[in-house]
Amino acid sequence: MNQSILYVIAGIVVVCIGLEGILIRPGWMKKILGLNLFGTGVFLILIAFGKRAGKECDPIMQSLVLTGIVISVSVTAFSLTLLQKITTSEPGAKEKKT
Amino acid sequence: MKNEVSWRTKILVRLMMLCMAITLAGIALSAPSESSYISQAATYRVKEAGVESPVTAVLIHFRGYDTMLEVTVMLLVAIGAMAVGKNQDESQPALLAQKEETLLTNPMIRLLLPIMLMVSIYYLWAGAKKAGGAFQAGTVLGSMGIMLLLAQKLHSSNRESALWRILLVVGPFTFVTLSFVSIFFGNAFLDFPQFMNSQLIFCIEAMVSISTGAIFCVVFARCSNLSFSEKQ
Amino acid sequence: MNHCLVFPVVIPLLSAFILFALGAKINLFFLLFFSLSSLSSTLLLLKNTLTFGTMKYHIAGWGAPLGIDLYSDGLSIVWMLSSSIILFLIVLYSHSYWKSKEHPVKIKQAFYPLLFILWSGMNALFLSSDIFNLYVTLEVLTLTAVPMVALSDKRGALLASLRYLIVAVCGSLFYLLGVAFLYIGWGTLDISLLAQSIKPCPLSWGALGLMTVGLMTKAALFPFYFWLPPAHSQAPSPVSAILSGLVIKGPYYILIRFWNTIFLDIQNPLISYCLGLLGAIAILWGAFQALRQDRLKMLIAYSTVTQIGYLFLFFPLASGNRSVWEIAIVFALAHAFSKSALFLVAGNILCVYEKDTIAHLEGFPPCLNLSFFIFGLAGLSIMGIPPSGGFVGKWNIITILCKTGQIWWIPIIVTGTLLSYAYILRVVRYSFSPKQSQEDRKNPISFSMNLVALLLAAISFSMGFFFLPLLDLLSIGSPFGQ
Repeated sequence: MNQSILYVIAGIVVVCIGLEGILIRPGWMKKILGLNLFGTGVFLILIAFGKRAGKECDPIMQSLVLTGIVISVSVTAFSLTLLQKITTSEPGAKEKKT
Repeated sequence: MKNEVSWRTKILVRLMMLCMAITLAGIALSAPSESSYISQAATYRVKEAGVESPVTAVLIHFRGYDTMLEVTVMLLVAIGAMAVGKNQDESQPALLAQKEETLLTNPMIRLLLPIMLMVSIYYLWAGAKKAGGAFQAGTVLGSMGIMLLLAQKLHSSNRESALWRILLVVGPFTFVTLSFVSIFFGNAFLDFPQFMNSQLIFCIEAMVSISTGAIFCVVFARCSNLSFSEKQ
Repeated sequence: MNHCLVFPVVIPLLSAFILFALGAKINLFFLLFFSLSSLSSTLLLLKNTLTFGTMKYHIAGWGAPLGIDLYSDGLSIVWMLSSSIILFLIVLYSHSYWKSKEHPVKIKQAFYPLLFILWSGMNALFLSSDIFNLYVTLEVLTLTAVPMVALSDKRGALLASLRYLIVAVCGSLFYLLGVAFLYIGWGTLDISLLAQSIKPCPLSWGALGLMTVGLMTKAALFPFYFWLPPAHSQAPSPVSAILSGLVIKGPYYILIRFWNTIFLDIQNPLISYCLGLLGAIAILWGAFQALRQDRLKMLIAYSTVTQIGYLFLFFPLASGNRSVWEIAIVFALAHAFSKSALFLVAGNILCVYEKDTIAHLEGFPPCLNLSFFIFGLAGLSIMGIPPSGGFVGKWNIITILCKTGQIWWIPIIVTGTLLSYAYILRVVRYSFSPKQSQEDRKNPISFSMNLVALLLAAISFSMGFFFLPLLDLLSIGSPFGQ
C-alpha cells in the first residue's frame, strides 16, 4: 500500500463521474465535458500506476499518456467544432440573434 | 437533445457507476507493486537512442510509430474542422466588431510575438534533454497564430488557401517521408541513418510543431465565432 | 527484414497527405494513381505472405518488448485484402457520386484525404501487434469516420456524428483502461508476449471485461447499437458503405485476435455465452426494427445491427472448437461486401429521388433497373441463399450447433433469417410492380456507379465458390491454433 494507489482510486472515481455525466446529464456540452473527465481519469490511473514502485515514473507510461492526451485534445477540438456547427444551424438560431 | 432523464434512470446509472468504481478499485488493489521489466529496459537503453530524456526516447525512438499516427490524428481534426466548420458567410464577426487598430493591440503583439517565438524554439531545442518537444513548441506557435487571428493580422480564407494546406500537412508528411526514406539506407522503417540521426529528428520536430500550430489556428478559426475573410 | 509490411500503412497515408495538399486540384488521374498504388501495396504483402508465410517487422529495429512490431498472418492478410478491394472500389464510386449532384467543393476536398487515412488506419490496425498501438489505430478510425458522417451537411447528420464520436471515444477509453491493466500486470504491450505470460487473476479478468465492453461498443453489439442507425443512415452513401462494411469490423477483428491470443487461457464460457446471447437479441431486435423503418438507409443500417449479432453468435460456438472462427471471418467478409453494395445502391437511388422513403419507390424509373437487380443480388447474401458467403456462414453455424448439441440457438437463427427475407423483399418487391409511365428523366447514375456496386454484390454472392481458397489463406500462421 503506497501513496500512488490513492491516485489510482481517485482516477477511478473521476472515470465514474465522467461516465455518469455522459450517460445522464442533458445537453451536449456536459457530455463533452464528461468525455474529457473520463479521459483525464484514465490518464490519471495510467500515470499513478506508472509511479507505483519505482522512484522515477515509468517513461513508457508517460509517453502513452502523452499520446493519449494529444488524441483526447483532438477529440475535444473536433467535438466542439461539431457542437458549434449544430448550435448555429439550430432551427430558429438566426431569429434569436436578430 | 434528449429530454430530462427520469430519476429512476439516474439512480440506476449512479448505482452502476458505484459498482464499477468498487470493482475497478478492487482490481487495482490486487495489482503487483514491482515495476515492470520493460520500463527498466527503457531506462537503460535510452543511451542507445542518442537522447537524454527517457520520455523523448520512448516517444521518438521506441514508440515513434505511435507518435506518427498521433500526428495524423491531429491532422484529421483539421481536415474535419475545415469540412464541417462554419462557412465565413454564415455569421457576423461577433468577437471583433471594429476593424480599426486599437492602441493596445499593436504594441502588445510587437512585444509578445518575438518572445513567443523564442519560447517555442526553446521548447523544440529542449525536447532532447528535458520536458519539451514538438507538441509543446507547436502549442506556443498555435497560440501565437490565434493571437494574430484575434487581432486580425492573420487571415484565413474560406477555401483554405494552398499555403495553409501545406502548413497543415508539412509536419505529418515530413515525418512519414523521412521515416520511410530510411528504408533505402538499409535500416528499418523509422530507424534513421546513424550519420544524420539528430538532424533528421530535429527537422521532423520542427515541421511537426509548425503543423501543430497551424492545426490549432485552423480549428480555432472554424470553431470560434470569428469570421475570416480574405485581406481586402 | 521484409519491408513490404510497412507499405500498406505508409502508401495510403502519403497519398492522403498529397491529396490534402492538392485541395481542389484533385482529379480522376490522381485518385486512380493513389488508389492503385495503395491497393498494390496490399497485393505485394499478399504475395510475400504466400511465399514466406507469417512475417514480423520490428519498427525502428527495437523489437518487441520495447518497440512496436508489425505482424502479418492469414487473419490479417485476408482482412487487409478485402478492405483494400472495397475501399478501392469505393474511391471509383465516389468520384462519380460527388459529380452526380451539386456538392460543395469543400466536401470533396475533405472526403478523399479522410478516406485514404482511413485506408491506412485499417491496414495499421490489421497489422499491429501492440495493444496500445491498436488503441491509436482505433482512434484514427474514429476520427476519420466521424468527420465523414458529418460531411452530409444536414443537422441530423451532425447530431448523429456527435453522438457517434462520444460513444466511440468512450469505447476506446474503456479499451485503454484495459491496456493499462494488462501493462501493469505483465509489463509488456506486445500481443504475443502477453499471450505467453498472462495468467488468470483479477487484473486479467478486469482487462478482459473492459476491453470487451469497449470493443463491443465500437462494434455496435446490441445494447450499444443505438448510435449506429442514425450515423450510418445520415452519412453520404459512399461513407455509409465504408462505415457499415469496414469500420465496425475493426474492433471485431481485435476481439477475435485477442480471444485467440491474450485471452485464450483466461476466458470464461460464461462471457462467451453472454456475448452470444446479446448477439441473439441483436439478430431479432435489429431485424424487427428493419421491418418497421420507412427509410431505405435506416433499413440497411438496422440490417447491419442484425448481422453484427450473427458475428457475436460465433463466440459461444468457438469456445470449444477454435476452427469456427474461420467461418466467422468468412461471414464477416461476406457481410462487408454485401452491405457496402447495398449502401451504394441506396446512393444510386438517392441520386434519382430526393428522399429514400421506401414507399416512394413504387414504379421507379427504368434507370434504376440495374440498381434494383444489384440490391437483390447483395440481399441474397444477407438472407443466406447459396452460394453466397452468408449462406456458407449460416449453414456452418447450424451444422456446428447440431453437432455440439446446442440446438437452442437454431430457432433464433431461423427466425432471424426469415425476418431478413422479409425486409430485403420489402424493397425488392418494387421491381415486380408495374412501371408507371415515367417522364423522361436524365439518367444521373453513371456506368461506374452501377459497376462498382455490381462487383461488390457479385463478390459477396459468389463467396461460396472461393470459400476453400479463402480458408487456405486464413490458415497461414494458424491464427486459430492447429
